[in-house]
Amino acid sequence: MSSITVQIADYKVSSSPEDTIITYALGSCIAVILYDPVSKVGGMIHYMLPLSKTSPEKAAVKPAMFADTGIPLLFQEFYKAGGNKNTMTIRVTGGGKLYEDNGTFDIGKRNYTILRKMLWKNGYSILAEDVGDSKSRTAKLEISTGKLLVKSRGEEIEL
Amino acid sequence: MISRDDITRNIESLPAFSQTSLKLSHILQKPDFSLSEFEETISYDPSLVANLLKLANSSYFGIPRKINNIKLAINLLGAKRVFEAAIANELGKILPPVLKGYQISSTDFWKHCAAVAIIATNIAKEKDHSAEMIFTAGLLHDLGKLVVSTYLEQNPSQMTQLIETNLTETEVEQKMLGIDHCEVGELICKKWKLTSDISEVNRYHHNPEDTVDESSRNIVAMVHIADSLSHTMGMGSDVAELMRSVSPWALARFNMKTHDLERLASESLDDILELSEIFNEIRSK
Ligand SMILES: [Fe+2]
Ligand SMILES: [Fe+2]
Repeated sequence: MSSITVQIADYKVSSSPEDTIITYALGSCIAVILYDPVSKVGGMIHYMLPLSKTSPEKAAVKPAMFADTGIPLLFQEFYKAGGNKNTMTIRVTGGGKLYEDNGTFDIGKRNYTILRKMLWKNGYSILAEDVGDSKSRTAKLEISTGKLLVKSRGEEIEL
Repeated sequence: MISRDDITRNIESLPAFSQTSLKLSHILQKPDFSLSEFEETISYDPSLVANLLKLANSSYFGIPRKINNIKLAINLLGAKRVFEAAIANELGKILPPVLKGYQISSTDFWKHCAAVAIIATNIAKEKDHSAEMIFTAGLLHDLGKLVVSTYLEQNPSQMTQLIETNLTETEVEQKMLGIDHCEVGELICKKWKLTSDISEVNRYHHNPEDTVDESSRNIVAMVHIADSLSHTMGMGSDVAELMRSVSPWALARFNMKTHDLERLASESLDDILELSEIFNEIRSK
């Protein structure tokens, strides 16, 4: 079994049944996980910020740093690898926040809001999610089964 | 039951901070400091020279040209930058492989320290606050954790349980040990004779508004913001993760808004990842 790590500000797609796609320490970042149980294609992005206008220069080199430039790329790659829009699922995790903050640091919420907007505009819906709270999460997707495990503070849940 | 006294005694038995780094810091602070004395001090420490060249050649520290001797590195980067690389190297050397009490690997702990150093330096740059020692203070802001970790480790389940009751990291430390990593960090700084800025950053980086030394208030506030942002970005995910408080006082002092933080995060990310990589190279040798 080979494990593919998605670094912060990056995305990965796979259709090899022996692969596992994993990302660590999401913090306020968000992981969007696509999976098609029919073609057994899976993909994951780990984006850090909502909008590429924050730094168009960075977005040009690392589009997956931002939701608006990264998410479309994940979908494109996913379809290219054989994922099908009609049978695919979308799961979401991350978007954590600092425990005590007046809202200034709530990048997680902004990351989540833009994602909802983008999905809604294109007619997609979220199958399952584990977002928010003062938790930093790790997400692991098994390509052969589509099983998605989300871990934080030593506890693991299946999404 | 562990007592504060046990912990403070343990600090006394810590090994000394590298003489080379201390000496460099003293040379830098002299008004008429000499570059050749600076260079000579470094050259007595061959492992430092090797690692310094590696750091100097990174794009974060470096310039687009291969540097293969320390004299050239000092000339091109300036003594201050070389000193910062020396501190980075020093921190790399004193980290244990895992900080068990915080359930974090040295790789991730280092990434956190590097993130705080880089973000804090970028805050100082953007907000036009000169703070000579900010990179160094950022790197060394959590020194107390090196000692506190071994005590938390003796009762890992209590640590996890207390975090579940919505206590912040420092509150959990206080509850379990009667002392937190900030206070311990300050004691370590005193023992190692680090500068007052670094000592104040260690002591007050979780409650910057309480900083005693007026001249350190800016640097402490900037490190506090950088610390909060680095955890938000997932840089340094330890057992307490996001269980920390942000000081509205520090945000107001630098008029920090969400879009400032997002810009800082986007601008700092590549440098953080690069510095983390170099650390892994240095450590794996
Ligand atoms: Fe701290
Ligand atoms: Fe920290």
